[in-house]
Amino acid sequence: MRLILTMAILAATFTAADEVRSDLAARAASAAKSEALTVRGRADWFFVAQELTHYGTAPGWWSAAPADVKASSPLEAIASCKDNLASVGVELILVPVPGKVVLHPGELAPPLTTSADGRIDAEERAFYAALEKRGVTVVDPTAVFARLQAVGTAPFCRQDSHYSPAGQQAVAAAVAALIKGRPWYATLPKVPVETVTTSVLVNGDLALLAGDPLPAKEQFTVRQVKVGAAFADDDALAASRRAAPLLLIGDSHCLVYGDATDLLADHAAFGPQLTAETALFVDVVANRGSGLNAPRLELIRRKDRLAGKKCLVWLFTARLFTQTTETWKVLNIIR
Amino acid sequence: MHHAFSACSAIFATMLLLLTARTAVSAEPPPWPADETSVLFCYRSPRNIIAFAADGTRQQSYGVVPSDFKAFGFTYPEAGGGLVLMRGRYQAKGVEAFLAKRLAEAPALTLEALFTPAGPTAAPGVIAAIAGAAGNDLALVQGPDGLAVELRGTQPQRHLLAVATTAATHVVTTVTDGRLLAWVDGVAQPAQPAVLARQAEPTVLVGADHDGTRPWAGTLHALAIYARPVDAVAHLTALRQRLAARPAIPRTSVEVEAVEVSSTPSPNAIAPYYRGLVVCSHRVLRVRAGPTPRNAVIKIAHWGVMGGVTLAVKGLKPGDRQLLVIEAMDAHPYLKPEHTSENLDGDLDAPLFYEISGWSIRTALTATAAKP
Repeated sequence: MRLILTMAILAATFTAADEVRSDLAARAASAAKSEALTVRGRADWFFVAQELTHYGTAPGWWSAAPADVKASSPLEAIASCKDNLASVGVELILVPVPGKVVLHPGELAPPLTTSADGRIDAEERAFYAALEKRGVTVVDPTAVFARLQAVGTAPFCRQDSHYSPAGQQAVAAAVAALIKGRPWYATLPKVPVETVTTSVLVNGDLALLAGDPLPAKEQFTVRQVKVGAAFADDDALAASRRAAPLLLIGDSHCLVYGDATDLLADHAAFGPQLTAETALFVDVVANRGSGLNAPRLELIRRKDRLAGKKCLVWLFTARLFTQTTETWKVLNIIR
Repeated sequence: MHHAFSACSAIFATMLLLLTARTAVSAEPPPWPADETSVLFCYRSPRNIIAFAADGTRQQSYGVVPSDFKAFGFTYPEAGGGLVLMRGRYQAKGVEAFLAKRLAEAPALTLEALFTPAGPTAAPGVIAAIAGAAGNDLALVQGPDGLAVELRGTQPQRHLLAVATTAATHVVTTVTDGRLLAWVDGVAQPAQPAVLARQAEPTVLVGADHDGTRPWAGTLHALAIYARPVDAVAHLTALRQRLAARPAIPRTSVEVEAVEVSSTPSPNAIAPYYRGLVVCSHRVLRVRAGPTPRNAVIKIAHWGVMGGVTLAVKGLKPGDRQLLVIEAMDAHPYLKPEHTSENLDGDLDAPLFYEISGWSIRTALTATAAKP
C-alpha cells in the first residue's frame, strides 16, 4: 500500500513538473510567434523569452549528444574544461546564474503554477549533481537568492535580464567564501580595497526591448570598488588585473554594472565585487551574450597556459545551457 | 574586389591621412578644453563624455549611443578616441535633464567639433546639433556644397562655411549678440547676423536630425558645447596635439581569401545587445601596406550585426576575396566584451585581427540604400 502511495505521489510530481515545462514552453512559443524577445509579467516585471524556452526544454538536455558532431553536451564541455584546467593546477568554479523565473515564477502573467516544492529547475539541479560527480565545483546561486528574498531583497532586476546589485554581491560573496577556503589564498598578497555606494535610476534592457510604454525607472544601489585611488576596473590597473591569480570568464553577468552605456552602472561589475570580497585583483574575459566559447578562445589565443592563475570562475546565465548562439564545445585552453 | 576597394577607399585614405598626421607621441596629451569655465558638454572619447554643471561640477555621461538601438544606425569607437558614424542618430545618454537646463539657459552657445567626413556627400548630413522636438536649434551640417551652420531662429537660416574635405576638420561656431561667428581650422569666417531660438528641453545629437533624417558618415574625434565664445586657434592647437598623441597602432592593408566563416546570428538572437562581431579565418594573399601578419591564415573579427541589422559578413563564403584594413584585436580591448560569434574548426590560436575598414557594414549599407 505504502509503495503504491509513494508511486502515486512520484507520478503526481512528475506530471506537475511536465505541466510546468509545458506551460513555460507554451508561453515561450507564444512570444516567439509574435517575435517578442521579452515577456511582460505582472506590474513592471519583464522576463527573457529564451529563459522560458530553457525551463520549458525537455529533460536530458545536459547530457544528450548533440546532432552536430563538432559540438558536445554541456556536461562534456564543462567536465573536460575542469580536467584541462586541472592539468596546470587551476581550479574551475562554475557559477550558472538561474533564470529570473526560477525565483519569481509568481511574477509571470498569469503567475506560473509550480510543482509542490515551488521549484522549476529540477533538471538543472540534476545536471549540477552530475557535474559534481565529475569533480566540478558548482556554485548554484539559487539558495543564496532565496535567502535574499526571505529578507525582502530582490535578487533580480524587475526590468533587466540580470541579477540585481544585491543578488550580484551575494553571488560574489558565495564564490569568495569558497576561494578564501583554498590553501593558496592565504599565501597571496592582498590589495587595499575601498567601496563606494552610489544610486542608479534605470530602465532595464528588457523594458527597453519591449518598448513603449516604458515603466518608471528602477532604482538600485551599486557598490563601486576601488583599489587604492583607482577604480578596480580602471585602465590604469589593466596590467595588475592581467597578472591576477583569479580569472573570471563568462557572459554579461560578469559585465553588468560595469558599463553604464548599456549595462546599468559603472565600476561595479562582478570582477570588482570579487576583488572587494577577496582583496585580490580579478582578470576578466567576458562577452555580452556569448560567454561560452568566445572567452575560452580568447584564453587560448593568449598562449600563456594560464600562468600565475589559481582559479577560473565561469559565470553565465543558466539559459545558455540550451539557448545560445554558440554551440557547447570541448575547447582545451591548456594546449 | 575592386568594387569593395573603391567603397572603402575614402575612409581608408582618411585613416592613413590621420595616421601620417601623428607626430611625436607624448604620454599626456594637452587638456582640452584647457578652460572648463562655461563648458556645457564635452566628448573627448567614447569613454570620456562629460556634462558640466553651472557650479563647475561634472556629470559623466553614459556615452553617445544610438537613440533607438533597433534603429538602422552604426557606430564603433576608433582606437584612441573617435566615433565612426555610418548612419543613424546618437545622443548623449544619462545627462539629459542636466544638459537640457544648461543648454536652454546659456547666454551664448558655441559648438566645437573636430571630425573627418567619410567623403563628399550628395545629400546633407548632420554632424552634430543642439536640438529638441521642434528641430535643430543649431546644427553643423555637411552638404554637397560644403560645411554649413543651420539655425532654426525665427526663420531657417543657413550659413555656408567651407568646402568639406576628407581631412580632419576643426569647426568652431558661436551665436552671440545676434551674430554668428565661425572658424574653420582656425581661420575666421565673416561674421553674419543670426538669431538663435531656444527650446525648453534641448539635447545634443550626433550623426542625424532629431527625427533620424539627414544621416552623416564620418569620424567624430571631439565635440564640445560652451555657453561662451572660445579661442578657436588655441583649441585647434590643443586638439591637434591630442590627435597626434594617440598611440599609433600598426595597420595593415591586405588582400585576403576567406577560408572559414563563422555563422552570423540574427539580431534577435543577440538581443538585448544591438551589435556583435563575427570571426572568420582568411588566407593572406598580398599585403599592400603595413606589417605582414606572421601566419598565412589569420582570423579577422568583422561586424556581423549592428543596429539590429545583419551585415554583409553573413553572405561571405570560403574563397571570397576582399581587400581589408586590419589591426591587431589586442589593440582594441574595448571591443573584447562585445558579443562575438566564433565557431571555426581551424587553428584555434591563430592571431585575431579587427577589420577596421568597415567592409561588412558598408556593403550592407550600400545594399540597403539600393533597395527601392
